[in-house]
Amino acid sequence: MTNLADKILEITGEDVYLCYFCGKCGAGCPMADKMDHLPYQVIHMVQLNDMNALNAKSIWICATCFTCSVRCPRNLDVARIMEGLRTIKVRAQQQTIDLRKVEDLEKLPPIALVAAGRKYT
Amino acid sequence: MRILYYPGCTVKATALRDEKASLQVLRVLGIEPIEVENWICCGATYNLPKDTVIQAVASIRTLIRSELTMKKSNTENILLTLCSMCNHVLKMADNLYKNDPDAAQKLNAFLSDEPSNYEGKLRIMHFLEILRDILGYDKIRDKVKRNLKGLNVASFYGCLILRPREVAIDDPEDPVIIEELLLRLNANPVDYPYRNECCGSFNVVSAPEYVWDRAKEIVKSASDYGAKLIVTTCPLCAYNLEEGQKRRRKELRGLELPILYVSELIAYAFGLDDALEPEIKNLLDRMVGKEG
Repeated sequence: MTNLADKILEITGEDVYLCYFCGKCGAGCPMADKMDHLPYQVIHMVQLNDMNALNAKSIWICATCFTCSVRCPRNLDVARIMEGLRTIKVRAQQQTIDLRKVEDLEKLPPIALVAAGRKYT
Repeated sequence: MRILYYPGCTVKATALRDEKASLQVLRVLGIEPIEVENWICCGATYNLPKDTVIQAVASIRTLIRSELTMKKSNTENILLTLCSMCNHVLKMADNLYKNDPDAAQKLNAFLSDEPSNYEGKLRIMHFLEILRDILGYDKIRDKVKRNLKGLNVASFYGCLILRPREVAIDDPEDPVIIEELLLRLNANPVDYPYRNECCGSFNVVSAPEYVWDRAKEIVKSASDYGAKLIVTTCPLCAYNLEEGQKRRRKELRGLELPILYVSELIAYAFGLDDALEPEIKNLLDRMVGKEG
């Protein structure tokens, strides 16, 4: 397989080597306390071509709120990189959600279901 | 002034309260929203890979149909959205189409079953942007009939109305649009650290516990800073906060703040009782402490 960083560049247009680990993305991330690796740690793994980046729980917890993307001093779209990793898994059909098993299916706003369907499958 | 109106799936399902209030507020201010014919779901989130255009197809199809309705019904080129997610997705797709000729060409090929290509003439605007940029804050103040003096209101912007920067309706780090409106209604805007943060979004489908934890933090913080009420514009934020504070009732020690749409508070201040559900009107009557 191609180098992970090149793959991310190809899918998202983002060059992970720009990251110098200032930590702003992890510091401001609203889901940080639920993540196994903070966004910049995931990016570091991608730089090192460490395939564990694809197994990070974090890539499925990222809610794509773009807080990291608007704060990155290197102008990296961090949310897009997280989604690039998700995309690699999704395109390999390694989905992580079964919409038939969702709690409160009747009550949830349709945008929640459509969004989850698009991000996770 | 006649403008186009794109409701989206959720406004017609769980956010009917927002639609009713927003449309009546606009009508009172002289704007007649005309619903786009045969609109479809925008996609709710805009997928971010750049090696495909599939994420924009549904949105561009709706934009084509918006232009057709514009010609047929002779409206302005302004397309109104109420839902934060629709506003984000339609603007992202519109930007892609306008800034990337290759993507536009591919999208046209995908959408060749539509009667025409998207001409890119639309100006997509959120309800709040219309109040600020088309009408102006002073016009809002002029219509206020009920005094909300003393009502401490926390805004909750959520993420997609403020980010990314190119589709934001205000400064992502220090938005003021809702606070400016609250001031015109004579309410007290409450400044608290979570107002422009994310509620956890679609994690409510895959990991609801994470979202309930978020909601707990947000509601607790708003209350600590003095808020009696939270207003938002996003139907998903509204659901997550509302449901989340119920699920974390124990940790919040029974604290529960009413979660309303900004439009409902404006409609109440304007005296548009028909635009409100009776329980919302009663709640606000109690909070303001007096009639009109």
